[in-house]
Amino acid sequence: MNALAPMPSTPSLALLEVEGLRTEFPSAEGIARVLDGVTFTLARADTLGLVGESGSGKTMTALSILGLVPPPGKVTSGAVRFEGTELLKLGPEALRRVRGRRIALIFQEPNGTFDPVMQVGAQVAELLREVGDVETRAADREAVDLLRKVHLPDPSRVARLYPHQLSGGMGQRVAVAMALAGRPKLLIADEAASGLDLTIQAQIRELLSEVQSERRMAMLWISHDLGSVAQVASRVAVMYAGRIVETGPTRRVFGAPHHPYTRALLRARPTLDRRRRSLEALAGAAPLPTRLPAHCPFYDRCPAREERCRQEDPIERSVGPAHKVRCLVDPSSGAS
Amino acid sequence: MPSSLGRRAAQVGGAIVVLAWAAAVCAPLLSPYDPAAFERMQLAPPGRTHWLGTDEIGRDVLSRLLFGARSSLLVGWLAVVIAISIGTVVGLVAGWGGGVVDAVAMRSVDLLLAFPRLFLALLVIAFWGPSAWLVTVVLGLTGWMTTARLVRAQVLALRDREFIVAARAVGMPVRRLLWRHLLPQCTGTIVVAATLMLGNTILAESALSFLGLGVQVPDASWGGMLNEARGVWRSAWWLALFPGVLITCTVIAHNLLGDGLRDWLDPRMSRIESAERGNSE
Repeated sequence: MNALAPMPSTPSLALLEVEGLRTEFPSAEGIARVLDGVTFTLARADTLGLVGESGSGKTMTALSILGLVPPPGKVTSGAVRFEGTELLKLGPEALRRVRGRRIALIFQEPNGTFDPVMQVGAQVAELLREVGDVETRAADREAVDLLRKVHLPDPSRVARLYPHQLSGGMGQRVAVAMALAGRPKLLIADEAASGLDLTIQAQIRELLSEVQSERRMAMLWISHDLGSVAQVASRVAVMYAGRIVETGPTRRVFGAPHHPYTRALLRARPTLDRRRRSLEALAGAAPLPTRLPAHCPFYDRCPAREERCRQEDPIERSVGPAHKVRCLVDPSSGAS
Repeated sequence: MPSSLGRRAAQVGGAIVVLAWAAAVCAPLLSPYDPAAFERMQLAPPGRTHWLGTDEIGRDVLSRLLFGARSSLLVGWLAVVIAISIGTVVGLVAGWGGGVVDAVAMRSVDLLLAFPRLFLALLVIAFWGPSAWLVTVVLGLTGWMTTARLVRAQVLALRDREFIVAARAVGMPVRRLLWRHLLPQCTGTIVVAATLMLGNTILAESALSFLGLGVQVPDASWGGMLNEARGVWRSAWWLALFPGVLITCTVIAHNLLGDGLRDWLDPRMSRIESAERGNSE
């Protein structure tokens, strides 16, 4: 516990502030609230890891920030301030100018994110022209430069390949190049390394860290893989049922987790430790977004639940330097 | 149908279409006579001097057929170009815009499809007077609906594809996204829809010219020649037979080509042909 992560930035340095973000989808079973008051901040050039199981709202958080929630879904309340601008109040065209130029997003499964019938170099060049303000004549050359920048071997050859000819690792490098085309201040990487094999994952993480420090770019690293989060993120936010249940410096959150869900996540992680034979899977399932309870959404699965957890919805409280948790139960007497 | 047979049919269709265009383009070179010139021989049967005979006022049938190909193909193709352009834009905008835009566009399509095309053409021509250009425009303006529906369906299927979402996530402007990334994915559909539309647009042009509402004398048109043959076809069979056969062959050839292109470019669309054929006449 002594080796604390660097102190989190003061609010004035915050690049991105997300507050009470709520996103809902109307459905036949009622309104599905996929984000239920997401709140976090991200400082300039800092990296925040966003973890949680599938369906917890990680991707929807990214899409909500960029105004890309697929219809009929809608952000119904909350605030997203980026460099002091309220993104949720921007019109479509203003928002488009934020995308790519200020905030870029890369996805898992990179090869599906390219136009299948266009050479990747042309796609990078197109973006350079559209969002990178590069002159048409210079775009092709700069595209190759950008591909070189993401350490693709023989970039001028890669530029002439079609998406289906790229391996997963190459594809993700091209995707990173495209994300960099508009020189964004924030890169949202949604499971950007997941699904690739481990050495490639490490290379992609390394590449992102490199461009991040070089361009002083902040990163929102979305992953279900706690290991990768521990590697890249100085701060971490744990999501459950559309809300952030615990947030703080990565070392603190992973070293001294407060929320029973965070602890369960950490226990469910495979390790090389021989003494522990089996993984502890968490029983049960998260509540459906159409049936969020009025009390703590983790109640049904919580090993530490108390009677009052069924009475009220916990609000965020501080449990250490910049370490906050949404849980009523007092910190694990034994753990910390 | 075995695919080799289908492919052969499409090749034959394509060959006939190319031939028809060649004849239309080279009509002045190939025609043995001035198509509007009155020869001395009236109602001459096919023979050595007039291969396909002459008509009631002594004009050479072969020459008129060659020049008639110009009217039929030009009017048919131009009308289809107009229809495809409107249909593509409406389909792209409706599919991408969704919501109210989509609803308005698609209800307009339903409304227009409910009007019989030829009847609409008759109304317009009755108002402005007959001319080939008017026929072209009217057929174009009444033919775009099927294309709009097909393109819209394609856009709906594509708009949530990851590469489109990803392109938006990195700030690609919508206009560019539509033209550069969505439209190319629709070209197969559009080409097939256009080819299948050609056959029945050419037929519609012939019908209107037959009624005297399309191409005007002295210009030749296949439909007009059929009309001129009406009174005398029992004795002068060649006046009705040759233009009739040409209309039939041209229409069938376009349809065969369209079927072939459909199988080749877009096997999923096997139903649009019947929809397209059903929507006129």
